[in-house]
Amino acid sequence: MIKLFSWILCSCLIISQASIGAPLSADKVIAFSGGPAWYQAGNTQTIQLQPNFTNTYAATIPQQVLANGELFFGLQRTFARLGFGQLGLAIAGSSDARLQGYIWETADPLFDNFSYHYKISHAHLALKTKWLFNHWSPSVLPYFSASLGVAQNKAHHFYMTPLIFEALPTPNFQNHQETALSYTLGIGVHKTVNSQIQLGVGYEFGDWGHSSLNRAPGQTLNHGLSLNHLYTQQLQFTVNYLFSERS
Amino acid sequence: MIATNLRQTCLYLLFFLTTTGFAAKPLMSMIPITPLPNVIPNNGTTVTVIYNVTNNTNNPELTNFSMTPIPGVEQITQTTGACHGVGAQNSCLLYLILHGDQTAEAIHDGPILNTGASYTRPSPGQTLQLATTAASNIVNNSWIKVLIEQDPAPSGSDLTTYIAKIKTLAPNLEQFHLRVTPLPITPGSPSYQQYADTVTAIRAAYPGTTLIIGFHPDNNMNSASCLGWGCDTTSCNLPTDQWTATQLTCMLNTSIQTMNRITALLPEGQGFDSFSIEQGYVEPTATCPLPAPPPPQPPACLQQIKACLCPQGTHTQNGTACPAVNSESCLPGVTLANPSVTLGSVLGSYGGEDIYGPTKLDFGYPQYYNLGKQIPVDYDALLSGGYFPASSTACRPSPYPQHLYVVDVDTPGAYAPEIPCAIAGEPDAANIYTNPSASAPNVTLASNYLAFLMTQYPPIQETVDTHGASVFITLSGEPNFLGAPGWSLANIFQLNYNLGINFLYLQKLYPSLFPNGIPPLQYAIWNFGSILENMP
Repeated sequence: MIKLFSWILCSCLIISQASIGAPLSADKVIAFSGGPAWYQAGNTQTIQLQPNFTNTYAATIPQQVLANGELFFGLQRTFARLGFGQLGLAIAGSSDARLQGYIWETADPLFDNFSYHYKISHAHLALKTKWLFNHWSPSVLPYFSASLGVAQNKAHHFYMTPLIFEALPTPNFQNHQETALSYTLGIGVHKTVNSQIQLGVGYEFGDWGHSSLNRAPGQTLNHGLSLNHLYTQQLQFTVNYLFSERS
Repeated sequence: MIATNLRQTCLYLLFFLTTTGFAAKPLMSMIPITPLPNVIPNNGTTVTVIYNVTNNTNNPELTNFSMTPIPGVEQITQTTGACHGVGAQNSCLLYLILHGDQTAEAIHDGPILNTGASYTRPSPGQTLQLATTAASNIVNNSWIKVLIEQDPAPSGSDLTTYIAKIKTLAPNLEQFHLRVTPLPITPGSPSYQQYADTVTAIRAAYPGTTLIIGFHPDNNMNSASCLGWGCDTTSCNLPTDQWTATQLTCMLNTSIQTMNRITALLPEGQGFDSFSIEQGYVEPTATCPLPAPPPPQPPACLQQIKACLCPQGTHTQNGTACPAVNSESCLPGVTLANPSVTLGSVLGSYGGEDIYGPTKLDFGYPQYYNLGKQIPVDYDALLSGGYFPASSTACRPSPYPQHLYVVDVDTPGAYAPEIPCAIAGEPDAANIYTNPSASAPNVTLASNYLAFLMTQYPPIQETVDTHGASVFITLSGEPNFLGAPGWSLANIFQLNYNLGINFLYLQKLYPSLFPNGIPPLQYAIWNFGSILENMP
């Protein structure tokens, strides 16, 4: 996957250099960004575990927060009267998202005998683009960003806790890591500190894509809990470092 | 954002509604119907625990479960009402036998039922919490409260052994009845002193207790006894259906004199406390007023006999009061008991309230053997479900031409009932307490039969007001039953223990069998000599 994106990136750079020509070459840019991300994840699912046994996993979906971090390598080009465009590779990782809820045995709320918890860890490699506008001011630059990437989502550490003495836990859904499509969309503003460093603050919306747990030992039908999307809303702080070819 | 907030609110509401106050409920409820012991014996004696399992779900497909194996815990499925699986909203009995000799470690939890995707155990305080202990700590026959001799005790060193065995058999004995053969005529009878020695020895074996010593004379209604007691030859040789008050008066008189004489040989307060008679004896159990002619009429009534033994206004040596008023007087020509004694009777059946009371019997010892009862159709499941073990019904023709009897007769023929044929084929037979194939008692078979039979008689089937008298359910120590080889003390213990379990089990399946609940029960053993012989 990384190879593929390297090829794409290199091709883009070569093409852009070839089309633009020598006078307007691109600057290299590195950006570190990070910040807290709020999320509300989970959905209620009814899963038939065995021919005669079905559970409902009733998700509780409180607002929670995790931490995101991203490293961006790319090229920046200037576009006259507009601003700057960045294109590059972003590697991002997050702290685990936590999901939880209640288990209704036999899919009947009368038997909500367990609470459950599990986590999803996320990292992605994405092609990211960022557009900064200096139309209004040379030092305060609003931006928007977008990325499309390949994520590794690992649903793990599922466990259940009995809510009554009489109920005993059954074997847990097992960990599962999968590759998924993820994307981000962001807006914010950069502040120029000097010719090389900009500081940014903004909002980034992300979707981690699909994740799911594996079957529990003894489970004969279907799979574990799954999630099609996990949306995050991040308050993103950025340090943008430009390696200019001009003095 | 607003949509998200609404959704969030709805979900919180749902969450709130479903979880606050805990709607949580186990899929299977497990309620013990038998006591849960904390210790079980580490020998072959088994302990039974029964849980009533209720399937709380509405899922028609969720019927089967298995019990997570626990070493030493055996699940029985071959008895009526036992769980093989249980349908939605239904109940069954999880019937467990605990083998203390098969479990090395203590058991701290369970039983755990597994429906394939769910595990359930009983509520706190109702799970198994077991440790094993030496059998001697638990397995003792303290339930035997009364022993009634059929033969006089030996003397000398044999008496010492005899008494020691009795103490081992019945450590919590409350009454001991000496068999007294007619004196002084019957050759080979023990002397008055020997009987006194027996009383002394048995009292010494139970120090600190107020053991009731009974005088159990051989007052059989036959010429041998009559003559043995020194009564008139002509009277004694009359056919018994022509006997009158004459024979009764003589035999009663001489047996009371004998009792008084033996008591006189003993220190004050150490003599006999009670006088016990038996069915087939000359003493009747009719009560006054006696029926008018025509004959046959009983020669006397209980109140008159009581008046001889416990005259009104007196009391026994241990302070028990005789009736303040007795409308009848002692029979003419009969010596009064000195000191006064209470009156008991080994009866053929429990009897009604009319034979019990201060002016009548103080003690009843109904013989609960040689019983036979037809099984009402309502309880057919006890046959088909396996409560009556397969070996007892295997060769019944199908469909059954008549309704089956439940019997425990120890000899064939008494009722000509349909005894389970595997046993009826035996020549000496129909001792259902012996497993024909193993030549050893089948304690399960015996306790299952006896328990069911007892539900068909008082005090379980109906309550009898005994006006303060005590009744002891009497079992046979003869070689046909508890005196047979193989009825070790551990097996005798197991029999009584299983009776208690069976009452709880039967009550769960058929509450109507116990209209007044499970009453307290006391037990006696009659003719226990063979049991002692089988002891090492």
